[in-house]
Amino acid sequence: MIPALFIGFSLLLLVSGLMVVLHKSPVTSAMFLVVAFCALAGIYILLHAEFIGMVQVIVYAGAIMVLFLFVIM
Amino acid sequence: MREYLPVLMFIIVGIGFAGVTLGVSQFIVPRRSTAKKMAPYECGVEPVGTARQRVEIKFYLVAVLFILFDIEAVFLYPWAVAFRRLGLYGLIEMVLFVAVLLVGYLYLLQKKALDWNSPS
Amino acid sequence: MKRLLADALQKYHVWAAEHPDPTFAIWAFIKIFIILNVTLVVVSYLVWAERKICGRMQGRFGPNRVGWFGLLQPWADVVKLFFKEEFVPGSANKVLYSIAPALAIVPALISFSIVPFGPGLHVTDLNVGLLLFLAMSSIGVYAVTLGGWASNNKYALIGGLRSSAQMISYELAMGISTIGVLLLAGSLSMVDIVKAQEHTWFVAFQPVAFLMFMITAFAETNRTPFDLPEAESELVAGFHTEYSSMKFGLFFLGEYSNVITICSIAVTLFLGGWNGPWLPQSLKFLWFFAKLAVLVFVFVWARWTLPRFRYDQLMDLGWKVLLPVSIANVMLTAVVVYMRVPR
Repeated sequence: MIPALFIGFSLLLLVSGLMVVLHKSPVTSAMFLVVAFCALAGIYILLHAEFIGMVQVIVYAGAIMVLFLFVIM
Repeated sequence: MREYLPVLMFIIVGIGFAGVTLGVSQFIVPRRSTAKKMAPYECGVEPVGTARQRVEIKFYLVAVLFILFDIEAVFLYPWAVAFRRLGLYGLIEMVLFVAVLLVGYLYLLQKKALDWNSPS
Repeated sequence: MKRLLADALQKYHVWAAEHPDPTFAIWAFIKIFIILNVTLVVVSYLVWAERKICGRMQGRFGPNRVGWFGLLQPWADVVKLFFKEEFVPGSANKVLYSIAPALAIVPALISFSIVPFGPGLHVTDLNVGLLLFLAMSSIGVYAVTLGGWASNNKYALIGGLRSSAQMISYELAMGISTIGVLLLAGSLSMVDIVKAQEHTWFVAFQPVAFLMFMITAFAETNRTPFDLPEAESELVAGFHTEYSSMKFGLFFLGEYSNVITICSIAVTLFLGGWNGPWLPQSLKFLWFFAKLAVLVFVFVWARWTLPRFRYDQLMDLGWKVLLPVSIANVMLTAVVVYMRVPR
């Protein structure tokens, strides 16, 4: 179960990371980066670092990417 | 570790629900589009200029300051949970930390970085 | 018949003892399904309740044509929304335009997985439950921002930006005002926080934090008096100007789900969750729903009573009043807890 979840989250992270670089529109790239951070939070939780996982979503996906969006838009 | 599985299931069920709702509505919705309906709405007059206006710098400032104080809050969380074990040392440390950030906050207020051009 | 049932129950108990993980997963799925459906029904009837209360406060009846007391009105609304014509504006970004409504409702629903409705009646008991709620609030900002930007409409863009700036400013004060509760309870788990309130609700120790949490709750859910970003008289409809049919329906549902979610969290953190006198343990969830109903009524009451804040007044309140007061509250609570805890 846990290996399957890890593979799922890692694939999601890799694919969304690739799409950040390959996509044309900057706002869509930023949204893919948000998906990448949420997948990363999932991996942190699998490593029993739940606090860091939640903080990843709160600070990185929730604050820093909003800053990016404000700048890009 | 096992407690996090329902959260993942809830995420999948939630996304599934939103997806099904939007998908079903795509099929049963009547579509009678005309050119006028497709134009952006601007209170009945012809739209003037493009919608991709320049975003004001104030929003960027608000976002940067939000990051700073959000990280302060993130440091306050584990301290609050472990507070009783930390004793006086932990309390004084955190008071000093908040005091340093408070100095930054007072600088912010003095420089009027967050004044939103109130009509006076 | 009874023997058959007893046999089946016995077989189930044996199977469950041998396979604990699938049992847990299946029970979690059943609870999630129940919560999803109950939430959707409660949210639709919250819309009905709001229209009725609003009508009464304005000296008229609310909806009363569709069924007794208008009780079938939400179903009529849902059917109407499904069959309305939907058009995506020509120059909009179609993918983000479709994703924004989903982003509005999914975080609000996920926050329900940590709320303890009664003793043992919670979907899951995370050790960082409160942080999950804050994380979902942070993700909810994207719905508004993307909805405003993807519509390719100036009003929507301004409304979306203003709303997201408002939401992030008030998220700070909301997060910091919950730290007082954490100092008292000593754990981030919602179930532990409710258990710590068996004798006294935390609102007695943290009235200022409760008041601030409620004020920021109004701002986070874009409800009056903080609903300038979607004010009808100002910005057409703000960030959901160009939305119609079920996409608008999801935004609408998302807003009301957010109201119920935040009120549930406020009840859990400050008003003692399911604690209350006189009822046996199996019926304590009724206390939770009673407190939830009171808070939701306050939300509806405020909407139809208070005028709306101007945008700069709103941001001033968030940054210059609520933030310093919440930090001062945390420091004061820390000092008092330190002095009273026996060492």
